[in-house]
Amino acid sequence: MKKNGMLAYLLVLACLIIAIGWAFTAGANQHSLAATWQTLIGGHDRAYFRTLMTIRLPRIVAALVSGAALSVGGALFQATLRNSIADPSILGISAGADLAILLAGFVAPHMLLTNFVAAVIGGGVSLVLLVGLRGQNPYQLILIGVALNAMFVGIKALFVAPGTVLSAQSFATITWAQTLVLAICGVLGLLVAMMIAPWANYLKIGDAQLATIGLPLPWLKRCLLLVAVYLTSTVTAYVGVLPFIGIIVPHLSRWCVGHDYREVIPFATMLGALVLLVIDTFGRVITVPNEIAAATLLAVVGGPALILILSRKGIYNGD
Amino acid sequence: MEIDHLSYAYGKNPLPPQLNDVSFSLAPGKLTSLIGPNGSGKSTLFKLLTRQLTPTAGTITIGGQPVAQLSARAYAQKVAAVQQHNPVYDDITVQELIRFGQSAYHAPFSEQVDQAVLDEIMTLLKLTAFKKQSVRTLSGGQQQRVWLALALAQQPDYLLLDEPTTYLDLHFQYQFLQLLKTMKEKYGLTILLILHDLNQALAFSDRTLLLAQGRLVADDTPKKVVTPANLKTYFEIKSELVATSSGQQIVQLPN
Repeated sequence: MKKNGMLAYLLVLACLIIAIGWAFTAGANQHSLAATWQTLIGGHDRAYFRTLMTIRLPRIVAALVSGAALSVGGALFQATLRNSIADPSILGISAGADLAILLAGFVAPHMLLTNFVAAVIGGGVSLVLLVGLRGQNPYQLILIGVALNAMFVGIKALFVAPGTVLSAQSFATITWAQTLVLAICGVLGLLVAMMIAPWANYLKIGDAQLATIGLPLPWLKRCLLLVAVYLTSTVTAYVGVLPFIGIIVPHLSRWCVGHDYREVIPFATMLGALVLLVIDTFGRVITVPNEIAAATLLAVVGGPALILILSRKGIYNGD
Repeated sequence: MEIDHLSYAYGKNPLPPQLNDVSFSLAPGKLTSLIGPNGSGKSTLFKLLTRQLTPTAGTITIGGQPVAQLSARAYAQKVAAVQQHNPVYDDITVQELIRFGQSAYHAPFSEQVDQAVLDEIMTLLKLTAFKKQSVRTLSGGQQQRVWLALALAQQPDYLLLDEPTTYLDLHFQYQFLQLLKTMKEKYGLTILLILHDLNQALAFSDRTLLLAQGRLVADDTPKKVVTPANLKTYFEIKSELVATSSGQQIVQLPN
């Protein structure tokens, strides 16, 4: 398994490099890889250089960080809630963060960090509601999450004009300043997630047994959930709600490197970055000069993937 | 371990309490069995001893120190428990799971373990061959040995087990209890174990506690506790004790 794991890392790394190259060159203003490279290292095409630096590069960075953060956030939710389809976009966490961003816009002036703070608070409140309401049954958790999600989306729809229910934040509108905040906050969260990855392994066994081996169990769970909410909300703050990636990538990761979270978390970071970059770039080039939002493509791909997971494995992790 | 006037009641106006004024002490190095009919308070007592519940009255002390005052780590170094129901939510290998038992001895969440201790336990419990397998792929008997190994990795003084043989077939029940006896002697453990099977209590324990309706009604050698009179009074069943050809006593139920 270790050998396969190494191979999987190398494969994802190679794909990641290719995908970054593709994302740089592809788009409405399409050039060859060589021309793009020439422009980047000091070519004379100033207009293309500006496109690369002010539009494509921030978007690539944002997609990489968002994909990684959502995937790792999803993996942490699944470990802590002990539920294989616990995903922030299904459980209402992302929608809660998104709603909070909208509401914050009414009471606070729009500043760079307003979105971030509002999203983290909104995501946190949603999680507290979810954990407070959930029953013992893993299906109850998902159903309550779905209900919360519908409620938050509905409340948001009350405030915005018809037809504009999608998040105002997206990859298409992201600025360099937003990208920097997203990158710094996201990478910080990812580093913490890698440090606490071994903790997620403990939650594979029951609470009663964990409590007698000398672990501060409630504290441990809160830490894991806090990091998961932070990662998810940070992404929602700047690129909006992106469904299903938090389920699909952790599942693929477990399939590639096994179920040890010390392996799953770093691998999901890379694979998540790759998946979202590919999806976003695909959406950008498929209907040039228009584009399809990553959220829309993810919903189209993610729905069937979720059904596949549920029909094959059931709701407990690894069942 | 001293249990002093321990009571526990669910809810505010308890009638009757789940556990009512129970006192006993666990003799060091002995295997004590806890028996009693369903609803007699055995599991409540187990949860109080493992700090899953807080007593409404009374104290549990170890060497004069109330266990309520011990930190989770300090408690885990003294007392280990094997639960009756042991869910596993995701794939985890045997050796990874057993490592958890060492959590109380190292910096929080460090990867450090005393590998010699773990290797010895895995060898004694015949788990070495499965150490890289997922716990969920093992049989019931093997899984129960894994949970025992986890508890032993805590290097405790006391080992508490809640009906550890319930889900095992006859062969594994016998094997598991034999193993407990061996571990008791090897590590000088003080063991308290809840048992349903009165013949197992007779055969394996040094001492037997009988709970009924939340009260401790007998505390003596197994032969003096598992008597036709006690079975009639507390289990409402007629029985007789029969001596086997090897001189062992077994409970014989009426046809």
